[in-house]
Amino acid sequence: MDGKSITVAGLGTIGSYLVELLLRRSGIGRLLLVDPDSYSESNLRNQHIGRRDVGRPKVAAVARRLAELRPDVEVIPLVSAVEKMPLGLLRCDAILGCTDSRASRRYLSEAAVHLGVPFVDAGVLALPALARVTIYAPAPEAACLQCSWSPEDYAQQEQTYPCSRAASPSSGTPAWLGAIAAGMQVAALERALRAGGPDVSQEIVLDPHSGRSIETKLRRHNGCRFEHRRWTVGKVGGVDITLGQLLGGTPVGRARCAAIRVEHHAVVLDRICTTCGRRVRVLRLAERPGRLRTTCKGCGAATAVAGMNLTAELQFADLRRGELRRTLKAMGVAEHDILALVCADGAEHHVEVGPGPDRGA
Amino acid sequence: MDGPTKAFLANAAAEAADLAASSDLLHIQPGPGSLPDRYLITYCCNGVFKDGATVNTRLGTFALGIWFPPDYLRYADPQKVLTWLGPMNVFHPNIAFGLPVVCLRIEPAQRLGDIVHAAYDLVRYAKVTMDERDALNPEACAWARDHTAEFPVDRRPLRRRQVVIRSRGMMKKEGGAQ
Repeated sequence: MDGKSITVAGLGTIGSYLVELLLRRSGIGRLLLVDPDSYSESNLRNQHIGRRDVGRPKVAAVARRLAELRPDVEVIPLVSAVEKMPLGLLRCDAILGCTDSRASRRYLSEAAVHLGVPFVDAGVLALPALARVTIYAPAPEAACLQCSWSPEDYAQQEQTYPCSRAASPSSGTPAWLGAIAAGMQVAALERALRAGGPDVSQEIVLDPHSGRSIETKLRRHNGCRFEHRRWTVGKVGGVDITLGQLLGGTPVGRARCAAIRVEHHAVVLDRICTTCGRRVRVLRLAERPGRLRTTCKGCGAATAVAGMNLTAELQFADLRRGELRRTLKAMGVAEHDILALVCADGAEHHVEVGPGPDRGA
Repeated sequence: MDGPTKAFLANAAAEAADLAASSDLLHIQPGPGSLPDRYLITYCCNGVFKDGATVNTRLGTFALGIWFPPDYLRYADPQKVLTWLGPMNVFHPNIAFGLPVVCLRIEPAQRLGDIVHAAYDLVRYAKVTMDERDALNPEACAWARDHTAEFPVDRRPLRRRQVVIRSRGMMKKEGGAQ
């Protein structure tokens, strides 16, 4: 495991124990920590934190502790939900999932298949006490998380409704169970990173009280809603590259780029005034509005974004003349985002946005 | 576009055509392309409006936009999938007054027909929240609790054929003969 780059998503009951176990063994060169939350008073009961961590972003608190433990390891804290971080940051040697969110797990699983990265997911059940670790092999023919999902599993994913005001309940998982799951996850990571890696997905469930465990090999489901497709990801210049340069300066094969997608992001085409109906062309990623003006230039009323004004794929034929000069940065695209360049013949080529100014194709 | 999504969109297009042909209360405008991923749904039915301080029930035209994002089979974000397109003075607990926001529970891979029926039930107050904590329009919520005897405000089913009444003196055949 020399010099490996590992991503840990979630620093709660399992993740807070996991990260120290990871760094107390050799082989990790880089650790990316991802969690959008901060530690609260109630977390002292079941998470591996101290009183000085309360109120601090989880990733910052953990990164500080890890720096004291292993200053030789590059630890990168990212205060973000996994769904909002640049997808290219997940291009690493392994992804360790410690979230309590079905939607986040599904997202990580899909990213792992696309990027060809082993995904080791852990979970616990407080009553009865069970610890689970699942290794999802990166091979397209291996089972993914969704291969075992029923329609009920999809329906139980967390959603944000505009009328929803319910607070998410805190986990009642005891600390010792989280620590056991973390240990299992480290062992599973070693299996996942062994030379050649796993070619079959498998799951281990442990009952700590009885000491019994069940290991299951998971099979790919032909009717899986997720199309197991691995991307080959190249590089493209930095965020200062323009849409016109992507169209004209990056011919892919024999066909030029006809459309562009920012993977896992929707683009806002227009904002609409809720009073006079005036449309304002925006062309910006929905989850990264930046400092966009949100009031109507005509009547001063608030403008809103609606689903019908979003698109997943920006067709170059629909762009207005001046918009070809629009840079990726102005659209809200960040370094490490992954773009899909869609050719006129339907072929797709994935590229990761790199650092620095673009120097052409 | 992946295979499962293509199949879903093809089914949705067929469903849209079938629904439009079976209802005179409904118009469905698909988006461009052979596999449209968005639809404009227009209902012509009774609904509730607020004009100034006056709340009244009357016939109206209601528009809803539906977009199926590429990952719709696996994750349904209702704020992306559904857009309330008007009228903006519609008065309903689940529709934000003056905004293109409607609160309707949808699940991943939910069929177009199911969404269209659910939205119709919402517009005509056959399905409505009575709890301000779940409402986008608390005032409409309070109004709804006092008027439940009137619901639904339109009792016609969505799937119906227009009944053509032929009666002597009411309709003339082409050419003027009766």
